[in-house]
Amino acid sequence: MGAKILVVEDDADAAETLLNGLRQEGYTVEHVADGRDGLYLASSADFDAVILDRMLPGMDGLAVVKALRAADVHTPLLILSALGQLDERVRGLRAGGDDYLAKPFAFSELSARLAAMLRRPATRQEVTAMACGDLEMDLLTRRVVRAGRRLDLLPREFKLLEHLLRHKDRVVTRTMMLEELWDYRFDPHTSLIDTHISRLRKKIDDGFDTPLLHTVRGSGYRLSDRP
Amino acid sequence: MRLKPWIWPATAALVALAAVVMGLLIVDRMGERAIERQQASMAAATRDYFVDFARDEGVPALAETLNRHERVGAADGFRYALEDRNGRMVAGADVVSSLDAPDTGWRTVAEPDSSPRRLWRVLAQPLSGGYTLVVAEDLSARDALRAAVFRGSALAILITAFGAAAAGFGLNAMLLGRTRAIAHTAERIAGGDLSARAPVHPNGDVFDDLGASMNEMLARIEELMTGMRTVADSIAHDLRSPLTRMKGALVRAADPDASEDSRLQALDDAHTEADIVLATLNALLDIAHAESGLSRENMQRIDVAALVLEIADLFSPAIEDAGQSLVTVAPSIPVLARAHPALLRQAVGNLLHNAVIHAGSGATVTVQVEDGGPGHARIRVADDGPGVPAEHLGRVQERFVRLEASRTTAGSGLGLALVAACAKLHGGRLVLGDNRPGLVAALELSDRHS
Repeated sequence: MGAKILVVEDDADAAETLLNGLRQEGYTVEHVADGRDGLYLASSADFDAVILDRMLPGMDGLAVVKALRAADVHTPLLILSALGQLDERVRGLRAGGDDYLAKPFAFSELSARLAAMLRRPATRQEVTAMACGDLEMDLLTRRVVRAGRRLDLLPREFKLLEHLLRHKDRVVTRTMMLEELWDYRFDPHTSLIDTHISRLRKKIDDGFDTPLLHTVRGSGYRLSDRP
Repeated sequence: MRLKPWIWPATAALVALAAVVMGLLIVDRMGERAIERQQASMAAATRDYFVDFARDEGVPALAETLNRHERVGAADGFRYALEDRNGRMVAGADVVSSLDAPDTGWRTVAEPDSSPRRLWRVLAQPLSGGYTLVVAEDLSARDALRAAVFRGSALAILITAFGAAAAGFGLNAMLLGRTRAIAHTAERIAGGDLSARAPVHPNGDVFDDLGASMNEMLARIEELMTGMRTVADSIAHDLRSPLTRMKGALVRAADPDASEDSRLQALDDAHTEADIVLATLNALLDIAHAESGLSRENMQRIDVAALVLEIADLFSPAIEDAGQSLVTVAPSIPVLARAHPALLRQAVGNLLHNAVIHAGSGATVTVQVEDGGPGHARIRVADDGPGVPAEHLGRVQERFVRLEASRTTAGSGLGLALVAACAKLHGGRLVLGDNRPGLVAALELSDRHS
């Protein structure tokens, strides 16, 4: 991948875990522990994404985000926070963050969100049709066809499949789906997504040779024609 | 911080002293004016009387009257003299005749050869036949009168002032005593003795009212403290169990003889337990947040019906999987109310989650949104499962309360506490009732507090 990521995190242990994980996934990573340094680096050097802790010495995380956006720096920005989810998320996004993740989190969750964030600009263009292997979706007529056979999906199943197609070949976590499709952020209820997925899977994979909807253990789901 | 007890009486005494001095000055001045007016009108009246008398009865009769007046003595301070055209005294007082009378009007003159100087106010009134009536007022008599008035008034003022001061000191001592008793109670509370109470007498004055309200407040605080302790105990208990299981799983994972598979399984178990701990902590955090009311800044006008239907849509497969059926009832037009969307979604989710877990297979879960007029809405989640016994309906809204029947199922006992906190933030309340059979939970929203 090779994307350049800036990590602004003052907790040394958390930073190390984060840096190791990101390097293993092939990212080029720079790390600073101070809000002011983070603001300086993020506005002067060219990064593909910034991962920023909410509480930082020197300068508060939200203040950094606001300052960056005010300076016309539009690098994708993921805010990490140990504060509650209810209001802090809204605050973070309002300040100009692109995504928000409450601590503690699984690295796979962060990785999936980072990947989604990095490719977001590409999906901005209007798409009217998407496909994965022999599965095709027409967004205008709202028809889904697999191997020439029309699939009858409920609106919520259509919504879910559309989301998976937009993130084709990538892991989408349960919390990402909960957040983006239902605007619901409550970790203990993430298994609700499994009930939706199993219904969708029955409709798009049952009776076909190659399964398209894969479960990724410990993270979430992936729609792909490759195993 | 303690009040210095002498400050208030000292200030009061100073003010009282100033008032007394002011009062005396005013009395003196007013007395002087009153006397002056009185004497002036008396002087004019007697002069006119004697002028009339001389005209009607003749000068000899006047001389006789003046001599009689001089013999009887002048109580009012007025003395008279009658002089002939050569200025010789015909009748009256020698001393008046010796005064240097003016030609016209009143004048104040000194008595010749007097020591200390004695002042008179004199008027020379011409009569027919060249006679002159000299009217003189002894000003020292006026001063004596003024002094008498002043002494009387001063005595009255001083008696009043002393009485007031005595009453003030008494009242002050009483107030200090009563306040000290209440302050003492507050000090004992601050020192950690929550059982301390302010003294309350049955006669019921303002201090007893104050003490009584303070005692009510203390009772509430003690109750809350006990509640906090219970919650703290519950947290400790509810976190200890998953942490103990996590520790056990980690021990299994660290076992050198364990197979790779069982090790992975153990780590997976530890992970699950960690999630339970985090979920409990997050729920507590969310409840505290909702209760503190800080979330109000994120409240906005939304279509409550649409929000509830979305969450019902999210839960519908889970409800089906539990062998239950879902019925949704909502007006076809938007139900607008001020709400905190994230918190409200979570609250409705918790109610649906409870139904999935506790209503049992075969139950019907009904989700209903009612428009309660402008800014008001009611969300009802009902099931026809086993329900909650009437005596526990209030208790299940408290933190960590889990009924015996549900001890074996997973859950933190925080779900309804969050819904209740959410209702409070939305200016409403959570009402649990009997659905005959089953449980009905009504979450009321109103603009009242937002």
